Amino acid sequence: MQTWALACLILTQTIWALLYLTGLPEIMERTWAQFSAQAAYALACYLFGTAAAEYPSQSWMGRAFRALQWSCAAACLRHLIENPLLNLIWPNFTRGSLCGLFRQLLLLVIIGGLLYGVVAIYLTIHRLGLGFRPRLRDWLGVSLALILCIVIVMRRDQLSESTSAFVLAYRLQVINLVILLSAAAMSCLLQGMASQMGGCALTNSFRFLAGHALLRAGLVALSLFPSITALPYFSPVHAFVFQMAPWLFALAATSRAQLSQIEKAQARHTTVPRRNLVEELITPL
Amino acid sequence: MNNPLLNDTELRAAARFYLDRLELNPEDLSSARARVLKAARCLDRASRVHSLLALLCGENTARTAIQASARRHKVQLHQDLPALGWKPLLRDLSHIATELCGKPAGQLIWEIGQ
Repeated sequence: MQTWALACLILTQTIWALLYLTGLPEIMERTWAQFSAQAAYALACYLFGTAAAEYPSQSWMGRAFRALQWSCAAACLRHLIENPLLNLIWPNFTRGSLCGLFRQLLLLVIIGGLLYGVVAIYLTIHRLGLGFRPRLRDWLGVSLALILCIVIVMRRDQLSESTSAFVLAYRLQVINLVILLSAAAMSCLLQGMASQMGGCALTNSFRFLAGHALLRAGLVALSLFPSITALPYFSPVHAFVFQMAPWLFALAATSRAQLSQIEKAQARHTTVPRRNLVEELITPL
Repeated sequence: MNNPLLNDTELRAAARFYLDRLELNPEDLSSARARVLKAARCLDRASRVHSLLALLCGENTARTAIQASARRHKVQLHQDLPALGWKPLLRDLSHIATELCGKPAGQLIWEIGQ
């Protein structure tokens, strides 16, 4: 399943690049980007829901995957209302303040779910008392995220919703960005913990999840600096990389689903008795 | 692989270790075989649980989980495990697998460790 998700990521990115490079109307590439993101989030939503059902009801890891499922569901809805095809029915809807308000309300659920999920996963591992501790480079990542939080608050007048007709949309955007960078800060810690745990499907899932949060936060942070956004080809490169974020989420979900497949395969193996080694040890005695 | 438990070769050596410490007069041979069998099976189960836990949660997680559990129950892994019993450790490891990977993983660890 993970291979399929990776293939979908490459395919959707290639098609988007072809649509962009061939100079077709912008609506086509933007519509394709929305469909691609919706497909990725729908896949992740289903798989995270399946994963959450495998945990006891009071488990923090189960709650984490449930929160990530809600985050994916809200993300699907967000990409639905951002579909440029809606502009054919309601002119300039996706560029309007109302769409901006809906977007920020949905982002509150999306990023809130992401932060809750990352924190819950981190706390689950921490509370097991296995001795994994954040390292210096993890704390450096956290520091960088916190510095960017301060930058966002200082530069809040440059945010896209600062000219919105709804004050709520503008305030929500600032809050959402602070939540996103908090999720990125926690992702640095989660990434460090996953690398200490060793390689397996579960830790791959954590890495992709952390990668998703860090990529989104990084791209948002870059767009806050006019000197960077003024660079040639910034916009298409930014859009290209940004579209990878939903598929990183899907890859996190497929990695977790791979763990369930491994469990099922191992459960089948346990039905075959393995007594040869013990018998081999005892018989010559 | 830095296994805190035993691989097959070490398991053979452990069996030999216990065998050497048994007084093998012909009358007690049957009971001695049973004791060695119990010890070997216990270590074999522990080794299998470690391998599965490493597959599901990562190699370092499996190692630290077993070490932390052994510390909690004040068990020296290679010496005390067969004598003191494996169940308390298995219960801990099953709980860790449930917390990290879900109920099927915890159940699987429990079944393999039985």
